[in-house]
Amino acid sequence: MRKTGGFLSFVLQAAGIFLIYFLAGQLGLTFAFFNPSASPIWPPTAIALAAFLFLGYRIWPAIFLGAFFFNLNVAGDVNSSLVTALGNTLEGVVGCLLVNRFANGIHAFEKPLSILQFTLWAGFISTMVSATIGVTSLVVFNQLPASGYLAVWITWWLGDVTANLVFAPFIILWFQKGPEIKGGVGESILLLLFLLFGSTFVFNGVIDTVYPLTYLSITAVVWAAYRFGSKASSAAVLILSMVAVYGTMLGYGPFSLGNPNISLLLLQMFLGIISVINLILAAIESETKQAETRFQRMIEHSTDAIALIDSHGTVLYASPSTYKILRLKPEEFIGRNNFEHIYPDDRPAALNQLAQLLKNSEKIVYAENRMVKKDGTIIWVESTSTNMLADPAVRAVVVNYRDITKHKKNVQAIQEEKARDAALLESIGAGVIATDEVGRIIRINLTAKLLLGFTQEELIGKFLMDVLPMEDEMGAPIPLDDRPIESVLRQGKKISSRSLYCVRKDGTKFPAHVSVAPLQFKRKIIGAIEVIEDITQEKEIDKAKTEFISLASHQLRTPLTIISWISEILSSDERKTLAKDQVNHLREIQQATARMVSLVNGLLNVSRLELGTFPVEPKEMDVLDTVKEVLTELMPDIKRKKLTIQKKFEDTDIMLHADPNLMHIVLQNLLSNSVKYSLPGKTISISLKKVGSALNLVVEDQGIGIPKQQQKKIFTKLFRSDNAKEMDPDGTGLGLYIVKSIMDAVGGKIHFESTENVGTTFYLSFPDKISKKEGKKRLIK
Amino acid sequence: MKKILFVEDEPSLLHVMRDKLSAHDVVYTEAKNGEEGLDLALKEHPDLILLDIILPRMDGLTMLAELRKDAWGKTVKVMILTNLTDPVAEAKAKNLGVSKLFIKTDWPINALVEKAIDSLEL
Repeated sequence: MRKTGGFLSFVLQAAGIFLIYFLAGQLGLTFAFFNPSASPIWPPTAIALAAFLFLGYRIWPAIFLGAFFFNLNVAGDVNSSLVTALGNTLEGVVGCLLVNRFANGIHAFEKPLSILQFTLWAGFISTMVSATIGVTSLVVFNQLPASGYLAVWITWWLGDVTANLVFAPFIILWFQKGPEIKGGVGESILLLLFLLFGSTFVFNGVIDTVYPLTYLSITAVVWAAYRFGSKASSAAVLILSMVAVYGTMLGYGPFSLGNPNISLLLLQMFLGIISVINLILAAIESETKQAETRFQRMIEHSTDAIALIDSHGTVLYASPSTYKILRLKPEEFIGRNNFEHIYPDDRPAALNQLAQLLKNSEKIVYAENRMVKKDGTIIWVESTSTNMLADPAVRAVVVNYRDITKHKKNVQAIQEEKARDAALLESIGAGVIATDEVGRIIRINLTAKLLLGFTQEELIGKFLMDVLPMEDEMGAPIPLDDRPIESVLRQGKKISSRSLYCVRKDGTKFPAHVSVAPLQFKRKIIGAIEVIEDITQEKEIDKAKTEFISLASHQLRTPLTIISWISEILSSDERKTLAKDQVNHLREIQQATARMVSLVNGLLNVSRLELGTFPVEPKEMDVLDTVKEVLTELMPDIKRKKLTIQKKFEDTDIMLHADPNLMHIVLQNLLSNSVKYSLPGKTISISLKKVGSALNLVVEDQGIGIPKQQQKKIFTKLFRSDNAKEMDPDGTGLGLYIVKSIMDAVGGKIHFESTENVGTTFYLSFPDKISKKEGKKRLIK
Repeated sequence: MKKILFVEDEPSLLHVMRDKLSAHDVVYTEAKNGEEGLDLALKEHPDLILLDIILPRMDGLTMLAELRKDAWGKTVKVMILTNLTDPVAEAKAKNLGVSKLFIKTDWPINALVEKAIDSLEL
């Protein structure tokens, strides 16, 4: 459907063009005075060019047929008419081709250069095609003697030239969208009247031709071009042309020379040149106006304001943006002195800057100062001033300025925030040192400076490792690779380490708790923060506590030694002087003393476990050795109670990464409990099983068991179950608490199942690897 | 006759030891502090020194260190009888050539005396 519609509208267009072309040809032929086929006024040429430019080359049949028919009408010869029509058509095609190629097509009249190109190619060159083909055919077909060739050729050609220079611009400009006709209605009416009367006055014989008033008519078209643009200009030229042709035909006007052909040719040339000059004028004016408008818009929509001032500071020009910045309309600012609006405190500096500026032409001065708005508010303004007094086009100092109050406030806010952050950092009670990604110090707070005895300058930019040595408990320097900061920068994990000693600038040391955290930005480590806490006081308190416990237990042991040794001597009764009940009493003293000793030892262990001062010293050990050791120690009791020990493990090495001393304490407590709370003749089974590199230990007895309701409290310090107290009053209530604490400390697990009067089973699992821990007070076996 | 020197500040313990050793064929001397112990040792050249650690005037480990500086004292047999359980003290003693510390509360007097007499290889 669309195709049919498209084709249909093309056919209609073509028919229209054909008709117009044909009629215009008829019109043109009415001026053919010299030769019936060559007219000085030839509108079809312009119609053909415009038709090709707007509708494309496919419109050629309409042009060709139009030309053929009126040529046939004139010459009556089919052959010559076909050739001439071909010439008319080719002229349009060549003109269109050249205009599109060199003169920007239908936009030819927007720029002076393209107008000149149009004049050359469409005006003078393409028109030769038709003239040459047409006149040649006249000669060939014997309608013109060869001697008349040149005269007819010139008429033909000039007719086509003026058509393309006078009539074509009108059609091309009026058949395209834009350019707009400028100017008001009143002025257009005035122009039209001036044009009609003026041209009539000049060309229609109102005054005698002897007066050279011809060129007065040009003023009207110049007016049109200058004030109304190219569209109106082309119309004005056309109107002038019509009036002038009419007048000249009637024998009036300056070009009327008796021979109408020569008269018309002269007139047409005159009009053609006026048309071209006028189009150029319109284009220049339009370009200038556009440039001005563009510039104006740029200035108007800019957030920057522009002021032109003279050498005294008087404002010569103020851009519309003045209002945005100073709340002053440009007209309120112009004529005033610029310095009146500069904040009084900043005036001397501003005056000085102007003086500097005036010393050199073309000098540019950048400045920031405060200005006072119309309403009295003070704003910060940033300005760039250029001395262009020497430039004749400017003759002023050009000041570009913009409001930077917001920016200033932001900067101030950021600075305040920075200062607050800095104060925060400075006030932290711990030493804080920040480093970059390679460990160079970039920031250090007051506490750190005081702690280490360095000044800021001595530390910034230095490698932390170089200026801050660290030592272990024994005074040995910590290898660089083991320093927390190294691992943090390498692995990006936070590290916190105790028992370090930091060395001050003067070589003295202090115990410190050092924690290092990575500084990360977009998942990349960009540095580290090292926090150093002086733990001298904590260390002293810790030391005092452990020393107290140690000394207290030593003091307690001394009288116990005396009681123990003397009761031992007495009960051995070497002189045989004691009665049997006296010996029994002494044995009881001895037992109580032994219990007191184990209580002291137990409490000592408890205090070391709780203070964390015991060392963990793991090594590859054979657990079987420890089991045998403990069983040997317990053998007298095992024998006395006739207990059976069932060993559920291979009698080969059971290697484990563990602390032998702690392992001994655990096994000793568990097995001695089993022995103690077993009834005579029963069985204790011990099972050891490696699970990977870890170890599971199960100790099962057929003892008195733990009462259900007391099972929860069995790992509590100093707690003893009721049935245990009844069976053996000598326990301390510390054994299982110690076992549990050790298992927790090494990362092991312990749990149990127990039924009263049936037995108890303890399940322990030791981890495959335990970490070493420094400590001064070993637990007592 | 072999000589035994007991350095101990607790009179009751000195008393017990004196009684126990009187039954054996040894010369027994005693000192109440480290200084006195050191003087006596260097003068009498005992075959065995039973040494406490926590002592007035000069502690047992310092006395031992002084003793080791002496040509004779360098090799003299020393048994440390103490109630202090301290790995640091233990390590120091080891460095001074005494490998085992006897915790007094953990040892019956008879067993200790037996150890002492055995070490003299009478």
